[in-house]
Amino acid sequence: MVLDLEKRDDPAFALELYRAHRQSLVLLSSSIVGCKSLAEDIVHEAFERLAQKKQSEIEKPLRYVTMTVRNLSIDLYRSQQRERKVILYSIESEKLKNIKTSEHSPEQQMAIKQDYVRFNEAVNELPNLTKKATILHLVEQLSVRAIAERLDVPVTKAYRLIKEGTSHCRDRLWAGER
Amino acid sequence: MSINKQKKIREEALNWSLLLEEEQSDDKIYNAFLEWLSANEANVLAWGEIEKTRAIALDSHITPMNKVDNITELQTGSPADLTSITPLGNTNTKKVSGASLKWAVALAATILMLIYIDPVLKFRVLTADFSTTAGERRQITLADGSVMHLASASAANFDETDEKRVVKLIKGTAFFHATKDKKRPFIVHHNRVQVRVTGTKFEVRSKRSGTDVAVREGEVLVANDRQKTLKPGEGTAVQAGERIRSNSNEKDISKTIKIEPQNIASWRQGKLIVDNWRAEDVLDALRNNFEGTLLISTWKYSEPRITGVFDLNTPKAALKIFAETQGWQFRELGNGIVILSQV
Repeated sequence: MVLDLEKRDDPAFALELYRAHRQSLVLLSSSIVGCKSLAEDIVHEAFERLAQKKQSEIEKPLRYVTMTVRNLSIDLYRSQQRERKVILYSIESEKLKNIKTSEHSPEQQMAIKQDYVRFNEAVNELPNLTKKATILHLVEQLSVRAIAERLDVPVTKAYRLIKEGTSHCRDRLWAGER
Repeated sequence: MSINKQKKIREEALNWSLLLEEEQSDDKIYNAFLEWLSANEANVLAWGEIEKTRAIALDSHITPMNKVDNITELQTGSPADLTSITPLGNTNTKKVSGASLKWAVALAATILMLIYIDPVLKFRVLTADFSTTAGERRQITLADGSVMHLASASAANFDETDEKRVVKLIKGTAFFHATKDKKRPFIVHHNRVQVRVTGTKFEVRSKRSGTDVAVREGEVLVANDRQKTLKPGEGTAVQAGERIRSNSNEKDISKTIKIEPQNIASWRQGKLIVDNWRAEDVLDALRNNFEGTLLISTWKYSEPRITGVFDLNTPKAALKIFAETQGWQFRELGNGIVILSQV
């Protein structure tokens, strides 16, 4: 993969960033999308987006690519689930738009539906305040600070509630038998 | 991996996930995170879980939604009322009443049990050719004409070549009616156990302690060898009306035990016939048929073996009967949650 470095103020830096972190970013993405070649496309896309920015626009380039990879991966995972489609592979470089899909099998559909049901069940098992904090964090995507304000609790407490709730939902989704 | 180690990794993944969202986190933090992530596979898996949880949360309104404004006060004394529900086992030392404490212990024990899973097994179940969910039973005709009945919460792969037909039982229980084909033996693998047949009816059941093979008609060969395909005359022969067990912590397979052939794979008729089973194996089998959530609170399963018949079509009633006969406590929480606790 060749980066379009023309638009970057400091091309050497971006290339170094790419060399140093490509592999772990691919791991980050494939842990979510479950496919290495898709993960590579996502990482490629993130670096292209970085290359199109001016350096002055981006204060923290590694943060920028990491969060872009993460967000793209989560979006892709969501569309895999939502559209009831399995992503088989992507086409070279036209990337994420031209994805070939096939229908989910009834078993897969069941498993996916089960995920949402389980998540809702898990949230409902939480104590009231933890439940509120967790929904505000995971579903409404508010920052810890905003959640603390909304619930009128100290930030440290909000942080703890979010951690408790999120890890409970995570455990209900991924631990035990599906 | 130990439970504690896995717990630690999951906690780390969650901490990273929260830290990355902080506005003030700088590139040094992202660098450290990527190093942590690529350090080993367990970290990657734990990271994937937390991120997919976020993804699922974002679309969870597809099923009836939790809105913050809709949350009403819960009745006190329900398990959800405890802040000590945290699986991270940390900090919370809030005083709780005696009854609540009991719940806390029950939940803590349950959560400990839930945390230990084998991610590789899970991946294999998700990608299996055939699988069943809780309460579901399926009859599948394989490509070679053999019939496989999958019990609840089971998964298997099938593959055939010119030399052999191979089923890999990933999880759960399956009953086979293998078609006769002298040239291509029908082979079932579960963990390290191999079962070879030319044409017969038999059941393979995965248990916590190992693998059970029971033959209804004909004869099969069983060996603890997954590498080399068994030839006639090798392994241990198991005849109709016999059962054999391979315990995962023992080198050799057990002697054959006589059983009633018509009792084999009785789950196909919705009955679970157990003969000298461990409590955990009975509970696993009932749990697999139960569409709700079964939480089990025990420190150590009691020794007496269980013999009896359970109705799989009414798993909740079966769990109740189990509790009554074994002296366990049965509690129903609504929302399909049942707690069984050993008294």
